[in-house]
Amino acid sequence: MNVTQLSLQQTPPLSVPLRFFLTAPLFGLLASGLLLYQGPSLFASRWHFAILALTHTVTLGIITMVMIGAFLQILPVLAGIQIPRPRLVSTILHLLLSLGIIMLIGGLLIAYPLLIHWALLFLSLSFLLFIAIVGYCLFQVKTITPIIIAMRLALIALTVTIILGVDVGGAIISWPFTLLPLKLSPLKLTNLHLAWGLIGWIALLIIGVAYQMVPMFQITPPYPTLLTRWLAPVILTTLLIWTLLYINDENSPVTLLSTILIGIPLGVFAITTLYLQAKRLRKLADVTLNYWRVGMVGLLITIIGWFLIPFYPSLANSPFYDILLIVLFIAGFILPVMQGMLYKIVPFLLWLHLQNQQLANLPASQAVKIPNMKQIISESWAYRQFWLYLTGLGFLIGGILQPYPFIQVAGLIFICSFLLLSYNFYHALKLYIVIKPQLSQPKS
Amino acid sequence: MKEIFLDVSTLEPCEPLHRILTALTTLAKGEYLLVWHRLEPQPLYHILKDQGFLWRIRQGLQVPIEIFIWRTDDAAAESLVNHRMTPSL
Repeated sequence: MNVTQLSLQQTPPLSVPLRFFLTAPLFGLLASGLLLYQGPSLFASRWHFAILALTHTVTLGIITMVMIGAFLQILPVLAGIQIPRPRLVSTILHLLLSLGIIMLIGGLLIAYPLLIHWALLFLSLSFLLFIAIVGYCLFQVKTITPIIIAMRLALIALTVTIILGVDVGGAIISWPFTLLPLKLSPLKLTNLHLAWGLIGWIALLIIGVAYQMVPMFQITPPYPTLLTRWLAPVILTTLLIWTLLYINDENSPVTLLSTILIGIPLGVFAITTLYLQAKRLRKLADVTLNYWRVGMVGLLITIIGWFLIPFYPSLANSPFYDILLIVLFIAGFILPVMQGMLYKIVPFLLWLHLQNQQLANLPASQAVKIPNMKQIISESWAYRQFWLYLTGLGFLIGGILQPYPFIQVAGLIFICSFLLLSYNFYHALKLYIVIKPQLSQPKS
Repeated sequence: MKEIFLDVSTLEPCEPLHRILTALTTLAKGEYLLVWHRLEPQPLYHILKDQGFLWRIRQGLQVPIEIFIWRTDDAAAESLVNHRMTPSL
């Protein structure tokens, strides 16, 4: 997969992906605020409503928000498939998703079942719409590339995650029905929801996007063909095997060992990415590269922690260990990779739309100087934001072992980090808004 | 100087496109642009067509792709490119 397959003429209107990308840092601010406000009590138990609220602020408000935006941008460009009425679809999706997330967070924080009920309806509707439209488009694609395979599998995993999530949420507010035909304990439902969401939906899409983004933006050799062909299907298959074993008996040694089966291909992805980055053609410092390296190391540490469980089963029952692994996976792997991606995608899209308008409207003699990507988002401010995030991550991990006062310090640093992330992106948008009118009409 | 040379093979998006378009604005009569690229830049071709340029590509020795670009109405530049691309016996 490389840039030769990009069809940038098919790029959707800027507002389609950008509304999702620019909303994500705001939910990051909200999550950081929750961390600061809830403080040391937050990680006392996985079942604390506040931690559920925080988790969904991050997984839905930041991660899924970015991923839906990425899907809507990538699908027409990589597969040449136009999403019908892209502005209308993205507006409805964005509205339903944002309202659903806010209601879910509010409902969990004040333990108000009616709000959770409405949140589940809004979120289910937004995901149903997303899965139906994107699923239809994805299965129309004629040329099946590794990223299309990863996107299809991620969408299947999202469907499973939503079904499990609605059942977990329904159990909390005592809905009289379940979507799954089999009766599972809330613990099993939650763990399955978590695994399918984090590994199936999120990690698979990150892997698919990496096949395109890492060689293109980090000037590395391409991922090996064998890996791009098989990695995503292997991960989903191992996840499925683990699910069946876990439903049957969650504590059997075979089930514990099967978790290793999922970890191996994820580890292969992390090591390959680090290797390709080491082989990049231009050895220049870059904030995206830094974020991706942190993400890959974060993923490897999570996998090592995960592999220890079958050998030290007591870890599985430790109250802090599973929280530590989830925090490492989300804040140490997914969030760094996403922020790194956004630092390339946001300025690239702004530049591309300015460039397209210039070429469409102005003769060469009246060309206006369009800022390049590094001028659209200042590298020095991006680096400051990166170091703030990394410091916050250190305090967050420390806070799981020693909650007071590390959790609140982490919350405070993350507030600064997401404020700066918002500033970087909204400032870039402001630049676009200032330049765009100069490109609209040639001077007479 | 009939050939303007540009190596964008180690630049990240959007630099290659940006530099190629900038170089094209300076292209005089009888001149062509030779670009070293690591990938075939499909988005560039649409722009070249719209802006009145022709191009030929070949596999390079030092880099994967070499692109020769000249103005559609510039026969002298086209002849130079054709001569440059003819393998020597």
